[in-house]
Amino acid sequence: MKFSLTEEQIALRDTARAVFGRLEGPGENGSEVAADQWAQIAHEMGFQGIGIPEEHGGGGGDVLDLVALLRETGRALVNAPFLASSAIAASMLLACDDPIVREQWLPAVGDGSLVAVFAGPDVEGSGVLDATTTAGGARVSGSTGPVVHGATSGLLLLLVQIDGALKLAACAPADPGVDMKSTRTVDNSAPTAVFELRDAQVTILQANQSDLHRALAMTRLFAAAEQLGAAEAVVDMAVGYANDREQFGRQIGSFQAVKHRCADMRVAVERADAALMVAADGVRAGTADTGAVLMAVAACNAALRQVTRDNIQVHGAIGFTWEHTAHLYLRRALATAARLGSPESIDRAITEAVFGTDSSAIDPVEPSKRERVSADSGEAGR
Amino acid sequence: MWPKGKFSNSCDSIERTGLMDLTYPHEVESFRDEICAFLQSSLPSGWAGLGALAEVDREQFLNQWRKNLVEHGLIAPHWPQQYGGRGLSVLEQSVLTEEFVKAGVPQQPHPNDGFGMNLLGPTLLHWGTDRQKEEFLAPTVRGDIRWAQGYSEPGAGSDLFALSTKAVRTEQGWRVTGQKVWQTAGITANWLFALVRTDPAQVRGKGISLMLIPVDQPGVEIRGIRNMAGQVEFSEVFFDGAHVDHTHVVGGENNGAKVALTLLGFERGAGGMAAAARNSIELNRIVELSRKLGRFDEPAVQERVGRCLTAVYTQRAIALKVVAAAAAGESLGAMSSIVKLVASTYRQQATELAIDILGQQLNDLGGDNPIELLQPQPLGFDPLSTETWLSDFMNARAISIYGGSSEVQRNTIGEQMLGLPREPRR
Repeated sequence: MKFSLTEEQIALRDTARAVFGRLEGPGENGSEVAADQWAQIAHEMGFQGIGIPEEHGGGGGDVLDLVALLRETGRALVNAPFLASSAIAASMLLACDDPIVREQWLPAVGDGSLVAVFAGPDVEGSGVLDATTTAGGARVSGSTGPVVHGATSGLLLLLVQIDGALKLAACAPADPGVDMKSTRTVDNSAPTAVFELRDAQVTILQANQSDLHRALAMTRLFAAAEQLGAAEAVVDMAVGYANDREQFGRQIGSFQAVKHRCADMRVAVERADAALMVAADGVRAGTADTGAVLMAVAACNAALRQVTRDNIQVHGAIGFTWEHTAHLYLRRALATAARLGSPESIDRAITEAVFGTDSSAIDPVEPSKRERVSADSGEAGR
Repeated sequence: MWPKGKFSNSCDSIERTGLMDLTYPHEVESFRDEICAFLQSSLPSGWAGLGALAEVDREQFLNQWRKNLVEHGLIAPHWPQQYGGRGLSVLEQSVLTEEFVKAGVPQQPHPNDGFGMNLLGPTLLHWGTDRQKEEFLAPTVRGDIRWAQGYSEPGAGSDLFALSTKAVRTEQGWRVTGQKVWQTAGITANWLFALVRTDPAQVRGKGISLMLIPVDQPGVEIRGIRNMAGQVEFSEVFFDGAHVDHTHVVGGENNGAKVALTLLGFERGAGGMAAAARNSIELNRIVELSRKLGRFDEPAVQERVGRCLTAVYTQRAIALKVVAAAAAGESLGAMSSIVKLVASTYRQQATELAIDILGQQLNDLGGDNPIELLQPQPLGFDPLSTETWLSDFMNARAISIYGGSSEVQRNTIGEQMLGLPREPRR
């Protein structure tokens, strides 16, 4: 039994930390990645293609490899669509069985030449648009919510409902009937845009319901990994300050009130880390269910929420300034939490996933006969 | 440079070393099957957990069950076979305790068992003389010797090394004077392992010894203390010229601090999975309670149950991490502080939820007496037993206090994990 990263994952983590650490920042716009830097990372590091199978031109890594990378993009508040395109959109694409997905889109996402984004619903399911079938696919009218990195994307994926069935649709932001508008966001390290579709023609991709649900769960897991990385950076920041700052003749971290707050922050991250790793490994092994993924998501969301507030408190007045990076992480916490849905809705969704409406008692924390979330969604081996 | 294609998980790729793997080794899974078979054959058909047994039948079942466990070497399974154990590995211990919890049977039926099997026994195995092992281990397994721990004193709680119970040399050994307090299961103990000051010239952690003290003598008086739930579950003990034989010092004179600290280390690596399973069973009982009271569909209940589910999931995830590290022989360091903090926070969270669901039922109490006081009730317990929920809630308040208070645990996490400076002391 082994609960740790592989040597390769550790090397990936360290390399990614070094690469993203060399970027300027994080500043007001996070750690910005210029177009040439994005291309260089794709070419030299292959980060964009980690989660994409080799047969589609990617690096062939698994869930845990992607998680290792995303913890580092989160740590540095990297302003680039690693999460949005290479993890989230890629997960949805991997649930599909279309030649254009396999032969064009996945390879292009993997080499960084295409940025795909997914207008995903929140935990309660709001954000699914209605569509009607047409000869070439479907027609959609409606607005997406704010989509991270939507403004620089070349492919928009969205969930639509056709005759009660959930479908994954695709269009290009430049398509007729599709209007993209950047929105002002609380978190400038993850710029957002809304898409308004007016009778827009979209392609319906081939994916069954359960694969879509599984892929959706995985997108949340990946977003949680980025939250966890940010939370770890925040704890490091708070502890570093508590060790350095002196008042009343000693380091403020020697006072129990400050020490205990830092300890609680560390515990929150430990809980999130353990839950995320177990859930991610369960997804990789095909033993995790949607409830387990949601629990890991809840733990990471709660951890980032808690530590970003506590971090400001530990820093005192300096943590309250624009210049200090503390608020950048707070903004990341706010924006990511907003995308998930209220904490209450997440908690209710977990209860429903585990206990549902079935009155029989089950073991809430062990894999059961409930729906599995597997990394093989849509691919052979299901 | 990060070569592309390095992550391939196809069969003909570079073999990936040390892959994260949360499955148990084959032989441990075989052991799990063995334990499940043992449970199946030992328990009556239709067994629904100790909690489902009628209160009048509990004592008889537990006595018989304990005999069965002793016979099969399962009461102290981590001990070497020659002393009545099975020499189980950490993973096997973890699986054993977990399966027992899931079947709703205790692995250590008597309140004193844990102190003998998990604390005193391993201490003797590590530090004890052959004579001490000979004298104490087998009777402990049999249950003829029942241990309680004499550490805390009225003036020495969190600050253990402020203890002042002292011993002076006599011809046969030592004469002990002082007082210990808060011994769990003290009233059913017939022996104590106690930290006593043996060198008056030294202070704090220096000059103390671990002594084995028989209760059945004039100089030892145990008095039960009623806890706030109304149960006499712990005790205080007065030593007024109690005799300790010179062969009953463990680990050497004035070496008590070191012995005690290693003793504290012989713990929870293997118990986390079982603890998560207990909480899982209890959470099911909370949900059953809320359904029976027609409250499960309330959004607030759904939300709080959801938070408990996440908490138990994370507790189990941490347990997996800890047991994997323990199995690999890695030091757990301050992780045990995180484990205890998370566990105590959760017990209070869960029992608060149960109390809130009960609402006015708290003013219309009924039901059975609890089986467990320091742990959740075992499988099968009636969810409508309000007396028991009240006891669970009350007893949960102690978990953040004993075994190192939550404040002490946070100090440990802050100092040992985060490297924050210690507080200056007088």
